[in-house]
Amino acid sequence: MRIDLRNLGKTYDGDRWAIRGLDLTVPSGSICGLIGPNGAGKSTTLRMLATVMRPTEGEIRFDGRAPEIDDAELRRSIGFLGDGNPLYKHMSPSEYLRFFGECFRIPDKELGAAVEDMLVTFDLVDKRDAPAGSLSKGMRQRLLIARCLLHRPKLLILDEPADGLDPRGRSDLRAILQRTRERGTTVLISSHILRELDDLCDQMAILQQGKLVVAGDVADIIERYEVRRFVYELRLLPPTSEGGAASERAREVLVQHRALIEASGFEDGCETITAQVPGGEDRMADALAALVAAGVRVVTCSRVRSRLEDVYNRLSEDRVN
Amino acid sequence: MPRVLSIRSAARPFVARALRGPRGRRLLGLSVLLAALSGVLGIWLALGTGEFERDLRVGFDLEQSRHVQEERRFALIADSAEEAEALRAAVARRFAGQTLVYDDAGYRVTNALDAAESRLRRAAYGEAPRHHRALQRDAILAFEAWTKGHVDANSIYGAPDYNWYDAGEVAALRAVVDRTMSPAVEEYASPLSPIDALRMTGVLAGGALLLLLLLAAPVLAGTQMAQETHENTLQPLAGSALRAQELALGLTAGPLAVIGVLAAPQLLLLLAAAAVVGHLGAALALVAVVLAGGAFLVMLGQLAGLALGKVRSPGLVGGGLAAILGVLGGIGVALAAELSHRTVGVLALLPQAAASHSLAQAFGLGDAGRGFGAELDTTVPVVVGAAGMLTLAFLGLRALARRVGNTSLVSLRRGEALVGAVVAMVLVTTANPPHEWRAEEFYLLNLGLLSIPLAILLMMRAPTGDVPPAMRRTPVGSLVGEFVGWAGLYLLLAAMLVSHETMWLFRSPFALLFAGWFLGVAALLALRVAVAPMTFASRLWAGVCAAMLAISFGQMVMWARPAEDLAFREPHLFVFSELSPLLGLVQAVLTVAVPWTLLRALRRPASIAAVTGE
Repeated sequence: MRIDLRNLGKTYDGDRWAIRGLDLTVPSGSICGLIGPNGAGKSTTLRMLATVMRPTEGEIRFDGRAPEIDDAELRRSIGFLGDGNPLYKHMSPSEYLRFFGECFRIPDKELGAAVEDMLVTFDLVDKRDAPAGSLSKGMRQRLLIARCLLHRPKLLILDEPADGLDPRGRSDLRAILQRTRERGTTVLISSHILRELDDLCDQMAILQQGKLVVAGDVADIIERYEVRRFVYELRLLPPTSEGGAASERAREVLVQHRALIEASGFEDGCETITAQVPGGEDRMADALAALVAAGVRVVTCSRVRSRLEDVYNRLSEDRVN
Repeated sequence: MPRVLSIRSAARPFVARALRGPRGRRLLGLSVLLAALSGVLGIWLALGTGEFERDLRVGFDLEQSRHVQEERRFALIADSAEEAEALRAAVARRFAGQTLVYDDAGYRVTNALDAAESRLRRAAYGEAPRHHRALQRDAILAFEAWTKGHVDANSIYGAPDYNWYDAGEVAALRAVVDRTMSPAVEEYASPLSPIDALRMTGVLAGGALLLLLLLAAPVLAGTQMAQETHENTLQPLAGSALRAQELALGLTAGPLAVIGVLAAPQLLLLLAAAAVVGHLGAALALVAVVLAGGAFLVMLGQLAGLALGKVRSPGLVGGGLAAILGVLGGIGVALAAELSHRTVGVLALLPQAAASHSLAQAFGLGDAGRGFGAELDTTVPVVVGAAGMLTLAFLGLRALARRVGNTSLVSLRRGEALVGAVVAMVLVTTANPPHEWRAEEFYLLNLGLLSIPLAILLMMRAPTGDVPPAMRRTPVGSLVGEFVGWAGLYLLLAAMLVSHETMWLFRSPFALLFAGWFLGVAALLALRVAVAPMTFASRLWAGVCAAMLAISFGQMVMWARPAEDLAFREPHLFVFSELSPLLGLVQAVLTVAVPWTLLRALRRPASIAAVTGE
């Protein structure tokens, strides 16, 4: 399902806008990450996309079609996990899924299998008859996501889905979202944890203070913003003779070349240094030559690609400045 | 999808949720237990011989008190075989001329004989009505036989005070004469029969049905709605494939399923008992009334739960609803129990009263002389009330759907609100029909009563949906016009029912002025409460406005009196100036300030962009 947002805006009190002037296109079958700090307008945007909230201004089109008032047919093809989404604490996971399956009008003969499939997929089989109130936070979150996927939506909207999930749960969620995308489902996801979205999303929109900062293909955005940022990771062998640690000598040389050391560590028997070298690749070549001349045994020198987090931080700095 | 199928499929998940797993089984068990309890209690109350159930029967006029029974039958009633034996022995000793032992049995025998002797003596003297003269002669013979003396009926010693016109007294005298002063000794047994036990079971089942549908159902539905709102569980439901109307129906069907499981056996018991020992027609009327009244109250409860759930806990909402409905139920039952020609109309307004009345009719409770309006023809108020409640319930469902689905800024459209207003007018007019001499007791009182439902309808006409208050443009003029139009329509209806010459409201300019002020401010206040956020100060001011409304209503009533009455009373334009000029000035200032502040609050310009009501 392709999503088009045009000049979308929402205000709750009539004075301040939670989001305003949002223009965004999400191609069908993509995973689009909505990134922004608290209060940026992510949840509001997702609620409007789920048609549970009406925009104050602007319009949304789903596959080119504007939603009607009380558009149950459209909602049938949307799975929505809102923020702070509550559960009926006295219902068991299987009862909860069955209840929502009926609310989404899944035919009887398919409902049992769909519920079973979700319980297996989200590892809730052992807890199928336990009250939802007794489940751990991670399990509850898995149950909520299972509810959104139960009716096989064409558009999946997840607001902070990784909240409460442990590392294994997050990894499983990524796998599930990948599988969902492979089925042709468009996924809109918001998260604070940018690394979660980094290699998952192919589209991204960064929101700040109710405004869209940047949007588009993730690779394009990273490419666009990394030209001004040259970060290299050096792997160094220990020195053959006395003269202190390799990293100490390397740091001295790099600092002389006005490099900014971002991180250092030890990995596979090698010391590692991550440094930002201003002025382009020529300056790095000079610094590398100086390192070799100073007896530092450089094994590898590789440019670190920018990540979403870097782009986000850079954009945030720009806006603050 | 066909409409019926759509309703069924919308209700299904919620019904399944309400009755899922062991809950359904437990509920079924409870339902069977309650039905059994109705049966057992019915049998126990009708046939039990214990003091408690006997007192209950006496309290409900199902049985005469022991004293009256003993008097009427000239009998001594014992609670046990031992007591009966002791009484027989005491009677035997008394007739054998032996000294009486002054134990409990001895005292009772002596008292009974003394009372019987006194009765004979009083009956012996004076002139009895013609049809009791034979009985009087027998009484004289019995008295002479007992006292071994001669009675001179014309003697000045006799006290001719016997009440020959009291059927009970005559029956008691006849029993004494028939038994020739020898009291019978009986072991106590309930005077009611197994048929009465079935009747009692029917009454209890009907009472349970009344409680379940008119109290438990609205409380449960309102509490559940408040919980859905409080815990934000409505959001995922609103995002499901159910339309707003279906969602509202489903949310109603869930709690009703629980009540339905509990009520079904009671309904069967009621109908079966009415078919066998009562009046099936009245029982069916009871069912119709509790269903219509229940539907209306359930909708009201749900709308209250939806409105209050965000700011109050579900428990508090449920408690409040239970308290209000409990009080209304008590008033309804009391009004039904003391029904008269003047109050028969309240059956249209209070479903609890109509249901209690129908229940009494179904099982012949109450008699022509007193209670439950057995002799009154209540068909019109009961039918009008049920039809009105059903219409209002339908409107409530539409409003609920718009609120839960957030599909419109207003809860009711203009036509729907007009239908609601007309229904309210019909119900209020039925409850307080035109009075022959005091027209103002009819149309002015009804106007005051009507202002409450009309204000609620106006609140549902105000734009309050998912749009910030600062951006809402409330069409104040047209909404106030609607409200005044409804009131005008009512006055027109009233003028058709009573002679317009008796409606002095239209002849006094001051009365019209106060009526206009009352209606206008009532509309503005309703809109203010509905559309704009309320702070502590604004709540306080709303209270002042409400007090001014009450005062202006009183002044309208005063100025709408006949001209000669007004000339005699010489009322002031501002009533408080009679107490003190300063208070009069305050009233005058408030008369201007109240509508001005309300208008100002409503006409605050939208800060960004206007959103109109429809």
